[in-house]
Amino acid sequence: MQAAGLGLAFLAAGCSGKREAGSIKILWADWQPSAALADLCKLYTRQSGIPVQVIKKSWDGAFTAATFSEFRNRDDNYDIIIGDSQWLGLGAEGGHYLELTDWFPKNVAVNDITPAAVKWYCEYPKGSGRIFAIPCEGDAMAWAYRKDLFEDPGHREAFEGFLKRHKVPHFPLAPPATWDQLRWIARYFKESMPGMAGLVMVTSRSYDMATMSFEQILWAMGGEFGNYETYEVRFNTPQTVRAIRYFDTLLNYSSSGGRNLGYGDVGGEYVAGRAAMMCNYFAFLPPLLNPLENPDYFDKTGFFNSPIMVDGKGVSRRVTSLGGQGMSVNAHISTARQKRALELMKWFSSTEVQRLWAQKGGFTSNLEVLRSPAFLKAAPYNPLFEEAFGMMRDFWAVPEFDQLLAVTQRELCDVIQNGASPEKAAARIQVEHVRILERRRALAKGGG
Amino acid sequence: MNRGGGRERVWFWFVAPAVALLVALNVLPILVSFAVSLTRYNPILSDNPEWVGLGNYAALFGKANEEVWRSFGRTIALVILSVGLEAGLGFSLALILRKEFRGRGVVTALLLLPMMLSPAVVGSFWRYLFNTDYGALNWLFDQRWTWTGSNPRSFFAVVLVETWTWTPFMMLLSLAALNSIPSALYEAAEVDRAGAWFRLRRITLPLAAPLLLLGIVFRAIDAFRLFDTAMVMNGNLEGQPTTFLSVLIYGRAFGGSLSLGEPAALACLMLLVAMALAALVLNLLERARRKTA
Amino acid sequence: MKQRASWPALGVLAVYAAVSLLPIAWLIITGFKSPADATALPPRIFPGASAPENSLWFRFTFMNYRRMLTELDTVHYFLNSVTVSVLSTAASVLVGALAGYGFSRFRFRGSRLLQLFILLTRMVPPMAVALPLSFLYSRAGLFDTRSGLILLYTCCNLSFSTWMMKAFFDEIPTAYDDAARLDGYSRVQGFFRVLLPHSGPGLAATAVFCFISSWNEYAFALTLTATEAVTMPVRIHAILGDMGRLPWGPLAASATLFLLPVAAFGMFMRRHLVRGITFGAVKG
Repeated sequence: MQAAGLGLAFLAAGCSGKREAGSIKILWADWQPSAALADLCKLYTRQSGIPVQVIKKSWDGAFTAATFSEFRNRDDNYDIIIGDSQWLGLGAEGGHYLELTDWFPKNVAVNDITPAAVKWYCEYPKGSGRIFAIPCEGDAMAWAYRKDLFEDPGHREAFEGFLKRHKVPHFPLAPPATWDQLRWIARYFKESMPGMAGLVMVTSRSYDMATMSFEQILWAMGGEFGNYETYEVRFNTPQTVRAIRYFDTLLNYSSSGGRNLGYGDVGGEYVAGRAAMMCNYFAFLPPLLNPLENPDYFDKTGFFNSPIMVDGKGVSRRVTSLGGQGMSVNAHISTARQKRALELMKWFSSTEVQRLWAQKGGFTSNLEVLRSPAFLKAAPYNPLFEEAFGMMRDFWAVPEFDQLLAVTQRELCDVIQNGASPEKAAARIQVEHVRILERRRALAKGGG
Repeated sequence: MNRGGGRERVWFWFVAPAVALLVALNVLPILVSFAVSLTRYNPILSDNPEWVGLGNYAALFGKANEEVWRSFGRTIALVILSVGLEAGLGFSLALILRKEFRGRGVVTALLLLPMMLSPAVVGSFWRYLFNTDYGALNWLFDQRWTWTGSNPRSFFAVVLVETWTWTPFMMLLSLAALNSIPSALYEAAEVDRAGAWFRLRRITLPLAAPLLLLGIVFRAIDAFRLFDTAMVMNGNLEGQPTTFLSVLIYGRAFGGSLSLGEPAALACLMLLVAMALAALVLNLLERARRKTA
Repeated sequence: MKQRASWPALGVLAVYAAVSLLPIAWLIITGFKSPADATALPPRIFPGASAPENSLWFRFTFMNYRRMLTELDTVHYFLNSVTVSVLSTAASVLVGALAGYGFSRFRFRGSRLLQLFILLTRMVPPMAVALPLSFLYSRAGLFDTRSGLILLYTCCNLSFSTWMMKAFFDEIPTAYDDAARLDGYSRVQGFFRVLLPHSGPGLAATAVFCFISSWNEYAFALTLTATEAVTMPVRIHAILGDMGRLPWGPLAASATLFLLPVAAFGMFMRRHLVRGITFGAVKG
């Protein structure tokens, strides 16, 4: 008892001297967009004289651990955190993100931003009007494919024969319009080219990976996780089971290691010429057109958005998994540092800087930039990105998201990696999600 | 023994810096950890710890916490399997290295290399050798095995890397043990025309036993708290064959946003087991010292 | 009088040596491969100018080393590793030598108990203290600082350096202490002017061991740093999460750079290894 008191007193005493000045430190994931941001911030340093440093942490756990450690210790290592969309609840309710509800409309041209971006990246709870971030990197899942293979006359002919053999109505070897077409194309390449995967998707149990690939199929089949306003869980449905099974069969046409691939692995497989199609977030697409990053196929790569799913009743839906991050100010830094960070964010969200951001390979949420002919022509995936904003949906963004996610990841990967039953997985996820959200659901009922 | 005849007070100034450092960075954290283990405390969501007494310890033994016991089981399995392999291999190698041959010094030195290299760095590279599609190991066996994730093979991948790393340690200790056996004993055995098996069982093993045992317990403690190799090779997710105790504690304490009370309780429990093993080491070290002194 | 090794025994030894050294050789080679060559089957093992399909040749390239030095900012992390390891080694050898001398030369109540306590700290699992340490460090402003790591590594090695140095001092005759006293030195002066210079080999052996364990440490470096003080083991593992590229080339290049000094040191200190791994209890 005394020991406990002593230890906690020591903790609470907090002789922490707040760190001052230095460069503005931005915490983000280790990927191409953060390199682009670092590049963009050099311009800010030239204009303002304030040095900016972008700190990159691996998606494979280190990024989450660094952010949570900052939250847990209420520390001031970073000025700005570009946190994943699902972390918004945790950052807001725990008081780690500075609330920007008043600052936002005065300093950012709200009407220039896609409403979807404000909803998914800035607002918590959804529909409350409270703002904790500005949009930074918009993102969604999309596909890249090997144009040289798709356009090869030999393959086109063989593909026609392949469809006939399997008594499938003819469709051309081109970016698929539906998930079923995608599955046939993947199967064709897997079976006709030894050592080649028909598709590679993100399937690792790390962080949110397999779930992000799966959930777009779930929603496209009419399933859902639950109601994000009443916290009612509606996961254990026939649609969910069908979606899990569908996802599982898609992976038959991946590589031998294709049921355990991370974000980086997927790109690596594609660049090494070992896959005909790859599904990943937009943020991973720009390197595919870079001759240094993708020396063999940079000029042979095309893109398409997640296709349509037609369900048994003939209803068709088209959904993509939302990714991306908003930019938040660490609430634990000194007010002087907060002011400095907000200046940078105001600069960043101006239309002209957003244009530069898009040029460097960032995915902007600024409507003017998104619709400008320059942007649409700049890269083959840019028009797809504009389209994707209308198809986005996200996982739970409540503070308990990591528990919800961990359960989903565990059960889903048990199916795709170890052959567990989809029915049992759906039932288990339902039970645990209900348990995790119990308190929140009761509160919502009491309040409403 | 009163070397230099010092009954002076000045000993304090020699010993104090070391003790002070160890108290500040070892004892204090353990006390804090124990304090936290008696509370429900989630600093990400709230600053206030809530007193729960021994509740977290009770929860560890509860049914909802199967993963803790599975993790415990995995850890024990790892200790037994990897330390057993290391001891067997290391001792056998030492039996060969004890003999005379050209280049013996160089070979011994090269064999020691793995144990000096950073497990985190080498382990990261092992992931490449274990890759399903283009890893050297799968190519060697002409298979497409999965060595990561929740596949049971991931456990054996870690055992293999651990054994590769630490066999030299057991080899070195075995060599020292063998060299400490007086050669007169073997000469006597020769006179009695004793067979090789007899010599191994009646002379070599009993006389080498104290040092071997010391090595085994040392390795057991290290394997019991294994973190780096398992973490870099297969991450910190729960329910994987490589989620050993240290990895589980890391995942719950650093990777999530749940109460820290439970991981702290688990850490205290783990410390207790480690200290019990340590008591064994102290005992054996003492015996080894008396033997060679 | 030693027996000569038989041929079958030497064969077994050769096989084990090959298996044991192959991964290290592989690592060095991979540092010079392009991504396509690193994923090719059968594995390409000979450096060449071109790499025909299905051959054993790979295109020898420095691209990984270039990338490592430019965009991966390896120099920063390497210097962190050097700073932290060197300074913590110096500190723990000094503090350990003081304590070792104290335990070797003085008889006082609780001496035995203190020695056991010091040994016990070596057995504490890092993960059992990492969480409270991150709290304490964050409050004390030591989180993500090189000084924080230096302090902690000093402490981690103390148990070892104290015991090791005590064993070495036990071997130095007390006549040296007496001579120092006759020269008019106090105990402390005598320690620094006479005893410490005489324990040179012991200091060197202890230092190499402390250096290697600090150089290789991962668990605390992972949990107590964020950006500034990150050391090479943490950084090198993070290359695996580097998105959208095959990490193997740059990973192998950085690892080669990182492992070389330790391999050299270790070879150099071979004579003292047995002593080192038994905390000075057994002379090799």
